[in-house]
Amino acid sequence: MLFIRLINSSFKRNLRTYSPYLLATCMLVAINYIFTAIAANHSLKALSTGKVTTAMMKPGAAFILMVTAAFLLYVNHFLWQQRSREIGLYSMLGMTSRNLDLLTVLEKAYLLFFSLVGGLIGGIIFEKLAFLGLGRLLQVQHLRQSWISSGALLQTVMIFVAFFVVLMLVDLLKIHHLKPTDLWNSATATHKHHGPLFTIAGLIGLVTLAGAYYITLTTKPKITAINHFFLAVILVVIGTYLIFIAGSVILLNWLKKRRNFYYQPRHFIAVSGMRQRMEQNGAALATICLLCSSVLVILFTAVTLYCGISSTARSYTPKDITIVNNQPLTKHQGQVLKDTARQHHATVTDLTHYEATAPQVGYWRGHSFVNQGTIDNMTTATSNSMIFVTAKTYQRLTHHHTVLKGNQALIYAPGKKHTGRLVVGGKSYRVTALKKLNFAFNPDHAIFSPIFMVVNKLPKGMPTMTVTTLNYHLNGNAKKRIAFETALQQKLHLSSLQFSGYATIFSLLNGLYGGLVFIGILISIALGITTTIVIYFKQISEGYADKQRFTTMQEVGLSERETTKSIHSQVLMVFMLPIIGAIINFAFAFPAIKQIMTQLNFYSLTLMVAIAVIITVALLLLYLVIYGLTTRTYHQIIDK
Amino acid sequence: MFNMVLLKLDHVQKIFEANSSHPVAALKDVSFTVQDGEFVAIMGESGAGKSTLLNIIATLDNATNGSAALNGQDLSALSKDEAARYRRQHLGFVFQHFNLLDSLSNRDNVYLPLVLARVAPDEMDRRIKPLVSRLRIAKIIDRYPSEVSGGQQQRIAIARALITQPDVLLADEPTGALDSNTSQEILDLFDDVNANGQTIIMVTHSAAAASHAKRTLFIKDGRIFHELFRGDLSMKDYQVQISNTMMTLTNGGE
Ligand SMILES: Nc1ncnc2c1ncn2[C@@H]1O[C@H](COP(=O)(O)OP(=O)(O)O)[C@@H](O)[C@H]1O
Ligand SMILES: [Mg+2]
Repeated sequence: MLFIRLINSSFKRNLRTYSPYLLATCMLVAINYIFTAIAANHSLKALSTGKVTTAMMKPGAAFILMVTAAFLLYVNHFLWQQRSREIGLYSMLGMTSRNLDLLTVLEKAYLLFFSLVGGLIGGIIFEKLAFLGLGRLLQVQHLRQSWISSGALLQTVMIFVAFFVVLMLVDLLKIHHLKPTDLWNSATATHKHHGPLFTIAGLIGLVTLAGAYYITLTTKPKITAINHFFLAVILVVIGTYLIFIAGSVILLNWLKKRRNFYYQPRHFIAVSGMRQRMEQNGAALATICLLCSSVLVILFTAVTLYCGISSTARSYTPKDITIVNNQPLTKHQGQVLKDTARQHHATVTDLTHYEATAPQVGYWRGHSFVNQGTIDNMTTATSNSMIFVTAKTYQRLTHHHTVLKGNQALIYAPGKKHTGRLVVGGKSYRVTALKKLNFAFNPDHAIFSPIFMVVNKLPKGMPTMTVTTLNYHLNGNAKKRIAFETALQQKLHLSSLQFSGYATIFSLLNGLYGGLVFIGILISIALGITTTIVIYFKQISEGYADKQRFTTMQEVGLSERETTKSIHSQVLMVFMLPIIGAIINFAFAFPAIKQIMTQLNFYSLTLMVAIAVIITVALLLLYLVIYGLTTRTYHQIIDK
Repeated sequence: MFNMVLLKLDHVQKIFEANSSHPVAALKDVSFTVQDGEFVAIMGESGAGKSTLLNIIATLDNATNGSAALNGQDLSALSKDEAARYRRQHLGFVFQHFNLLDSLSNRDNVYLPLVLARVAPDEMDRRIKPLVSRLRIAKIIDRYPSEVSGGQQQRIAIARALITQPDVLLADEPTGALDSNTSQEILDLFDDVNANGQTIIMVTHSAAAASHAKRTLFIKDGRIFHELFRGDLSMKDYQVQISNTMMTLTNGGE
């Protein structure tokens, strides 16, 4: 068969393009399979938190599908550019468009076949590993799975067949709409002229990005924080694209106009070269930048949430169990507690209770706290909830000897500094800040971080609550502790807001955030693969374009060393721009994420910074490794 | 015109891949001189070693044996960096495929060698003016190479080669990628430039192109095979002579 031979030879000649492409599609097939297989897992659905995990898989899977589709389209376009000369040649040599169609169909069938076989084998193997990892993250041991999930297999095959059919149709359309001479010429670069709209686009990019950063920097821990963050994300996406595509070119054009700057050997080559590179690669670089930004933000958020599980759980109940009621445990309730503990072989310790005012939500206006009442009255301005306890209670629970005179007060407000005069609920206090308060907690389980005020007498007219806390000792794993807590809550006839058990809450959050981390990692891998291939193909196309520039620059009198230096510094700059942009985006996202974390009662700034630094450095190193590896291909092209 | 020797090649030999099992002797023994102000054509079949010879004169490559000297400067004695500086100070190039940088506007392409030599922007403007009118590129000078025709690109390349006022203009098949009308225009330009005192060495395999030169060297199997002077011949007669010589050359006759 002539065609098979033609395709084989074409594959061999373009091995440099096809092999990484196949590897990438295999990995994407694998990840898509893993996602669908896990989403379809029955033992996971049976878990108490499994429904949440499976529910989160859906948007995750959809996102990865979108990335896959965008990637396949991009690579298809790239392959088309690379192969257009070859197709043009075939067509000039007398191949009919029917022959070319057949060639395209066969090529796509080949690619699809190898992607599916390689990807599904890899997917089935790595799904085992991924599932074990998920079990670890969720801290459950009894997950079960079959060797192959036939439903997921079928779904993945169908999706990829559909993708490749679309790609094939795109190519066929292109073949039928182009003349051979066009095919022949489509690799040459054309120069673009820009009108005033372009300048406006660049300015809009600058404004949107500045706006996005302003939003992230000023995000307050309010109910609207997440909305603000998503608005910022959208603005960053728009801003990054506009800045990379238009902003960079406008800046370089401006540099070009400054004759005494531009007409110097180093600036001349660099500015004009960069301008051309940005013209041709602006969108691709912006995409790389955004992919890296999302990897950073997703991984950071997921890992921080996961690390913050115990501190979030502790903020709901500083001791093992916290009960909020309007009175201390009755005699009958005390008996129920004893009986239930005995049944579950638990020993209750540190049983105590205290009175406090019921949380009042509100916000700060200067030095005065605007009291809005109960949580039902919250507005978008709401930022905190306020709780009063007496100095006596404080002394009893902390064993700190405390005497407060007149309007003196102690305040515990994590993440915010207060000293001097404060007005709360119409009354003026002279406050001293507390660094720690071992019994501080969040009775509403709401996103408003609670402020505790220690005063001489509880303010009159404010509703009060009675908080009962206890620790217990139990020989057994988390499952047994959860069973005890659940039984106790039921028998005391208390709602989930009134009764908080640490083990129960921990496992709930663990299921939620563990699933998030898992999805975050899978998404990051998918984004990583696609980014790598985009960079790799960029290197190849830059290589072919630079080959000619190398010769010309030497002919007009640049030394080999100068040429190599100038071109390499440009290539390096082009590839460092996206990762630098991503790190800047991330740096500005950090304050906003921190505020959102505050709402989830995660206050450890040092830990957050450590996680951020580790993730950034890891991504940077990975990026440099990818750059280093792909640069070898670039050099092979240049040196040939 | 002074009778001063500008370029002197002495038993130049070039062997590619000398250490491999298949060494290619592109130039075996080439000696000739070029006087200041001459217009010399070098003719030969494809693969005869014309480009190799031109690259050695251009300091883009070194001879394996023998010597090449331009203005008394031994070219093989130059280090790579010195050769680069020498190129931009003393040589101008025109190639078959124009070799303009697509990232630069036509004007900046012409300026490129001056920028490398750190000439001030105002001085560059001053120097380009006469070239713009002589090469008739006023309309296209501020466009980009990808936006103009092949013939126009070659004019820009010629402007780039001439703006440094080089000792010698080297051209490798300058009309090879152009149609006959455009070729004619470019060759007329060469005549014009040469009449102004510019030394030109042009490699070609077209008799029509070579007929513009005052002297034609024929190269075959890495050696100078023959030499023809135009003398008082008309261009047409000279072209016939060149064609005949090429014919003998191709048929292998002595
Ligand atoms: N870099 C090189 N390596 C090996 N052989 C070469 C190289 N450059 C040219 N040659 C060989 O030298 C001979 C002369 O080539 P060239 O000077 O390009 O011929 P032309 O007269 O067509 O310009 C040819 O046989 C060619 O294959
Ligand atoms: Mg040649």
